[in-house]
Amino acid sequence: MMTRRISSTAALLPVMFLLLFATAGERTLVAQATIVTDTIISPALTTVHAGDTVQFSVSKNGVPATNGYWTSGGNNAGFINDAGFYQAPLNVPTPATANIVYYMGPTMAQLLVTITNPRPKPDSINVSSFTQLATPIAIHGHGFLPNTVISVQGRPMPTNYLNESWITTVATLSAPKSGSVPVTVTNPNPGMSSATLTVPAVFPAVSVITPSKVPVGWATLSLSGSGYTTNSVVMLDGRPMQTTFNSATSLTARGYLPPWHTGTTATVTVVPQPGSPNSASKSIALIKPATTYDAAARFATQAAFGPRPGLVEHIQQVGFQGFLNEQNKLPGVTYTPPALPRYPYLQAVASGSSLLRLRVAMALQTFIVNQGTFDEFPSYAPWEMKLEADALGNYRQLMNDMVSDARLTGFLNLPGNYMNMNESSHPNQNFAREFMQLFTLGTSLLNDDGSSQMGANGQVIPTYDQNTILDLSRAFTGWNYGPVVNSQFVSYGVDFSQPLAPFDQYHDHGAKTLFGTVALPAGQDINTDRTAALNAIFNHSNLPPFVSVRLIQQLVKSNPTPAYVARISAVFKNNGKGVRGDLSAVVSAILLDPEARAGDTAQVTANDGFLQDPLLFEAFAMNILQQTQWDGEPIYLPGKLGEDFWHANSVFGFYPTTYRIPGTTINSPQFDLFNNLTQLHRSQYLWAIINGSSNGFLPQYQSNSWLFTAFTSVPDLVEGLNHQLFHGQMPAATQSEILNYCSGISNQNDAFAAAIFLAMNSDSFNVVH
Amino acid sequence: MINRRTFLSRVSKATFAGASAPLWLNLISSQAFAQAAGSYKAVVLVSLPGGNDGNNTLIPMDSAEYNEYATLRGNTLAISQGTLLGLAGKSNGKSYAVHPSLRNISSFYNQKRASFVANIGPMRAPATKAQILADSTLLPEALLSHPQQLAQWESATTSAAPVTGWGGRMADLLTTQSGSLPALIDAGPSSIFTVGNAVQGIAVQADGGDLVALPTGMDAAILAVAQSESQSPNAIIAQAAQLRVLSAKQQVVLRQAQAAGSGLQTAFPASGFGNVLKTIAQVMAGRSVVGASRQIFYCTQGGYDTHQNQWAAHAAQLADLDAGLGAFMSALDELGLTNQVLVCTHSDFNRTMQANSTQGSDHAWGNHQIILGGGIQGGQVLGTMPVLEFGGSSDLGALGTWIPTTSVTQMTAGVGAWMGLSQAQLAGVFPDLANFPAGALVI
Repeated sequence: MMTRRISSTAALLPVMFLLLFATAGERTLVAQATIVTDTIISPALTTVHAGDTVQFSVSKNGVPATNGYWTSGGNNAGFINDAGFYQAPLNVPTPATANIVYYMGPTMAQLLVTITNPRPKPDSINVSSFTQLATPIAIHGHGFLPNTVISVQGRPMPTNYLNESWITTVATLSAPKSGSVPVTVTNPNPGMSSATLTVPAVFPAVSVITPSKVPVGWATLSLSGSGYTTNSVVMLDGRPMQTTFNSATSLTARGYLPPWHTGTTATVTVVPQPGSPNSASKSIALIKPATTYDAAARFATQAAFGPRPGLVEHIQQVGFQGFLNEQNKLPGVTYTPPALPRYPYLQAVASGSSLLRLRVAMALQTFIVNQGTFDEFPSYAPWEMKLEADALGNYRQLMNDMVSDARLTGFLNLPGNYMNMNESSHPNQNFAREFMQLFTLGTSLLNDDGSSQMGANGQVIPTYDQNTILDLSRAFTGWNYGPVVNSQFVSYGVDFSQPLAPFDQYHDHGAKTLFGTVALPAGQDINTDRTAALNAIFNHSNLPPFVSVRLIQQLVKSNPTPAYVARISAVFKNNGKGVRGDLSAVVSAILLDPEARAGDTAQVTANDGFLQDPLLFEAFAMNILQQTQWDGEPIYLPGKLGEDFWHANSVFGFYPTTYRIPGTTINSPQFDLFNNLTQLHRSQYLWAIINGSSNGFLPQYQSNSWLFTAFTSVPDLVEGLNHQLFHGQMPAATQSEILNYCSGISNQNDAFAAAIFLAMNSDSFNVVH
Repeated sequence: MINRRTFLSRVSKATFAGASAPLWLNLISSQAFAQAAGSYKAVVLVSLPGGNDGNNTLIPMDSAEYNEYATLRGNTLAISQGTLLGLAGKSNGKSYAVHPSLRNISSFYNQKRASFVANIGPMRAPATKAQILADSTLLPEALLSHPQQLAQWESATTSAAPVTGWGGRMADLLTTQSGSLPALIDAGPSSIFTVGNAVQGIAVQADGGDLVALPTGMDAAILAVAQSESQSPNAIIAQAAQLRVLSAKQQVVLRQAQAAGSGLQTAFPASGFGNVLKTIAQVMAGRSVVGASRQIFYCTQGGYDTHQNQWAAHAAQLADLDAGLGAFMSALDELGLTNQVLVCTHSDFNRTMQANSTQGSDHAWGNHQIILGGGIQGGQVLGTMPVLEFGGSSDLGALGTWIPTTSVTQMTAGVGAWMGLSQAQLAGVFPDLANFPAGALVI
């Protein structure tokens, strides 16, 4: 048996092989043996893949020939044995031909074949399944060429050739679907050929989500589908949910859709493992809230004590009017003697549900000022209880309470103020004067829009003269503390739960004239005189704008337009049902007025809003943080900033409603308490509240605080702050300063505390707008 | 003195010089060195909110006048002549005495370091009772109302809503002499007195107890936020942020001045007012840190709205005032500033001469005030006492509401003159002064 081995050394090649470099026409010229046509090599191939084997045979006139021998001529043209079994070269030779010859003495049969690219022979792939859309893979086998291409699902991938037996690519699937994925290896022409492996793709799929509609905020979803594993994670609009694996076809997930999401749908996706970018997705419908989160958050700064988590979402669902309707039905705080009443008050403000009533009572307290004494319960609680009861009632009832409350009148010397017994004294004028000046009318005549009426001389017009003060003080003579009824309300012998009692024998029964026109005839008894005087004041044209301006300033803005004031004055005069002084209607009108709502969507405008006073500063912080871990000390914090609530130094309260920021014409009553010292102190107290580090605050609240638990990173938190605290209008520069500072803090809780602090300390938050 | 803008530019200059806080403070100290060469002068205004009963603060001592006083005040309010503290000498031929609580002040008077100004109140122009009854525009706006009347005193106007105070307007003119801080330093509650056209007073108080230190670096972050928000389109936000930016710098100077003056030895009463005056004296003692040669201080004392049971309350309030001012004058001696500081009082109004039925008195008008200082022509009762008669020529009504014979403007312009303001400057700070031919009081 003779074997012609292919040699790689050209010098050893026989001449006839070298001649085969020539063309077919030349070849015929150099043949040593005569080609005969009656002898045929079969199969009559024209091409053979590199690396292939072929069993050739030969026949002469139809009879197998046996007495010759085989050669395979050419450069690296493979080899053929005596039995005609041909092994093509592993690589394509140059030239890419092999001349298969069967010699029979002087004659021969010849078959000239072209050697084409090898067939790819992938043996293995290094992944058992696809679980992501893009997966790096390596294929081992044989026959790979530098221009071999791996295709996945028929789509060619950029392929890396490492060597003849090793190629790699990143297999990218067209869709996250489970099934069998063909991975094809293709060698190109000449002799293009392919081989295919299959790899299973295992992806979670979602078929049904229950419920089909969810509100924004926290949601719990049940998913049924397929391809679930213990690694599967459900995402809600890109935020990972807490996922519970029930089975390969069932998952349960609880997660948070930021409530400021304003679209109509959200996307639920399931990823095979945490962090995987690949997923099956399905969208779910969102229940459209009554208003946006941002508008609801802003409403909570006006109708409550700040954007408390949960409260904002509730307002978002029920809407402004719905919230007002609910709040009107809720009672005030239950104060139980002898406990310090400011403690349950602050608890109710920070975490209670009746908020509008308390907020309006606080507004009233700023200009109908009580001054409690150290004996706190009897002197603090009764007046606050009346304010809370009357806050959404009628101003006429509130006036009744003003003139009969033992503490408020005692503060202004009304009890025991008797008729002029002799020529050397006159009635105490304190209550009469301040009742008109501070609680009801003010010193100068007003238009309905709150502006001063001007006299012909260019001066304001006094509301009353000294004669009216004197006569009103006479009309109020004869009242004193009554007998003790409720011992728990007694301080220094006075039962502060009881209204003043009339002593007609000490009443001045002479004729009186109020405002120059209202006559209280001589001989009227003590009750008739007081009622007539109160009616005259209640019906005075100053009362509607006087009260309206103050409530607007406390709830919405320091600088209302005259038109806004006029609209509210009109409601004060007539609630639509012919009733004057209906505070519930007035408060609703103030809060729902277009001027109050303008800031819900618009950017800040000049002079809009109001600066938090110290009590609101603390109440807002406690609401926003859900800071419920504290002892009694926080009731004293506003006092350290100039507003010892319910305990003013004087009947003028803590700041005048007319205060203007120095050097400007901007009205900002609360700015009176804001100076180079108190703004610094506010920052320090804010840090104490957030960190729970002093002044009676504790840090444990953080583990249940929305701000500390609902967000995954500082940027995520800042976006939350932007909506909760700034109704989506946090200045970009403030955001970037916060991110900049917090990026240097490695501990996430510390970084969160710093971000929350800087946001709440910023003046664009301090000014409620 | 410095307004916000020049203060900030000064700060940024220091920063350009290549330093952060320490060099900036060096700059202040070098200014201080330059400015401390001029002689120092300061005014301290003590407002007595509520309406001090001047009728029982300064009392005529000659028999006829004392008897009129005692008759009108009646048993409830008249102080017996034997307990009054007599003042040495005569003014306009008359003898006077003061409330028994005013022991220090009476002796300062007798040492010619104190004077009184009689029957003074807000007035736009001189007016008699007949003129006022004929023309109500001669009355100050919102007469007898606490906040408006005190604001009229503190602004030297008759407007119900003044927009600047006379202290602030003087401070506007003292910007080159007040060093690194405004000339006006407020040791009391917020007041229109401290507001100028360009200058706003800064608040000072004794160091508090329970404040929490912020983490290192947080101050810079707060300042960065405030600097960006000081440009807010919302003017209230912008104003709050501007105040924050400015305060961050001023607090450093103020604390250093207080620290520099903390070596003061004089003992002050342990009352709120005593602490306030001690703080003022400490800031004065630390004036070289600030670099100020002119300063104006504001504070308040007491609650004088004695509508009821006046006797004991009034005596206690005046005793507190007297004790505090006594210590303060001693502190000035210790600091070598005996002749360089003037103290004066304001109050909302006088009280009715007639008592009311609850052993108190009600709101009235013309009042008597105190001026203290080694550098004044002391030992005088300046101005004219009212005619003590119900319904008389001095009484606006029938209860003893005195029509002032000297205006607030005349007294406060006198203080301005003492401080060294020129005639032209006085005319600018006290626009109503031109309405009074007698001009400013000579203090």
